[in-house]
Amino acid sequence: VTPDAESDDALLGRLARTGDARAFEVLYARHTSALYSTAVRLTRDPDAAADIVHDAWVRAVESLHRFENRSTLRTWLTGILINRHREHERERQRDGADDDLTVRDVIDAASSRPLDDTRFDRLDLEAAIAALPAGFRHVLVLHDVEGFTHEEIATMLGIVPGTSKSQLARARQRVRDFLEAGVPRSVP
Amino acid sequence: MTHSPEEPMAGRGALRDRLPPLDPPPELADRVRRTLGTRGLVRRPARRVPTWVTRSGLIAAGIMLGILGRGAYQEAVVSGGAASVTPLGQYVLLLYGDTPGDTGAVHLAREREYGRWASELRDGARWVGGHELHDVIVDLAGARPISPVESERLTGYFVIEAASPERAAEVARTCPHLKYGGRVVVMAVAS
Repeated sequence: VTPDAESDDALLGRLARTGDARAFEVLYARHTSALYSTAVRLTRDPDAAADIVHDAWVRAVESLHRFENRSTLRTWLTGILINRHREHERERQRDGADDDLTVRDVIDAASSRPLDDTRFDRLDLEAAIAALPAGFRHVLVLHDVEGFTHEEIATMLGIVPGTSKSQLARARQRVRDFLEAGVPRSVP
Repeated sequence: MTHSPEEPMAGRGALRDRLPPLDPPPELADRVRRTLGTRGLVRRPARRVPTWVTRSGLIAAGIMLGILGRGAYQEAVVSGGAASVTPLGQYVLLLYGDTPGDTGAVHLAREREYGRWASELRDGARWVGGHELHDVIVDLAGARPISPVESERLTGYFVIEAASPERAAEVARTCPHLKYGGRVVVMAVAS
């Protein structure tokens, strides 16, 4: 079995046991593009995104013993990435007051029309996502772009699933509003 | 990712292919590799002697399997460049005690020191395996649980091969664990 054909679990085992560089290379190749894309969309800054992806990988390899098979490796890595991103945000004092939704703000997510049935220019869409307040952006990127469930997102962000749903609903509406009104092109 | 039965699938992941691709910069991989290499977390597989890695119970399991599978192992080595061929026996160096508050970078430096010591064994002795051990999960004596005494806590072990019990004892006397106030007990592996 070549490393490329091995499962994430098998590669993680070898990486943990022997620090096998080849196992790491395969895992890096499998997951870094998704992590970097998420990071860019969360931070809106390619340099900051590279920093947090770097830190996320280092933290992940340092704490392989903490990985439990209750989630996929990608979910676990994304959780580490989110934590690092939030630390980074705090360090740069860029938290927005618009992120303070609570359970009281819950909107029935089922009433929120998904964005994928809307026709729009993909650069406009990227710009609209980038223009969202951080809390909305995080949930929309993790759910509508990366495909995580509300339960997974809630765990990553330290919120309840209902808040994730409500933020998603509001984020989608905000994106539609942006797309209808025109979005400033400030995407990295 | 998992599918939650109560969660509508609509929209989940649907935008992934509708957004421009964002490729990580090529230099990022080198940067991550360099950091992991510097911290001793990733090594080339051909390298035989590992550092004293702390973070995986899997390593301990693998090494213990190695011990069990090689209990009767005897091998001839050429020592000191001379033509003396010496049969080796296996010994376990049990490390007791620890340094309070020894965490973070200090701990990492100590791990590396132990790793260097193990990798430099020669003259009729060589490293086979070893691992740091975390806190006792449960300490049982028959049906009666007992409280582990902190000063006697088993904190790690090395498995070595040595030409004789005396040589194994010599090796143990050079173990860096002693200078940190720890205790090293040498036992021969039954063959």
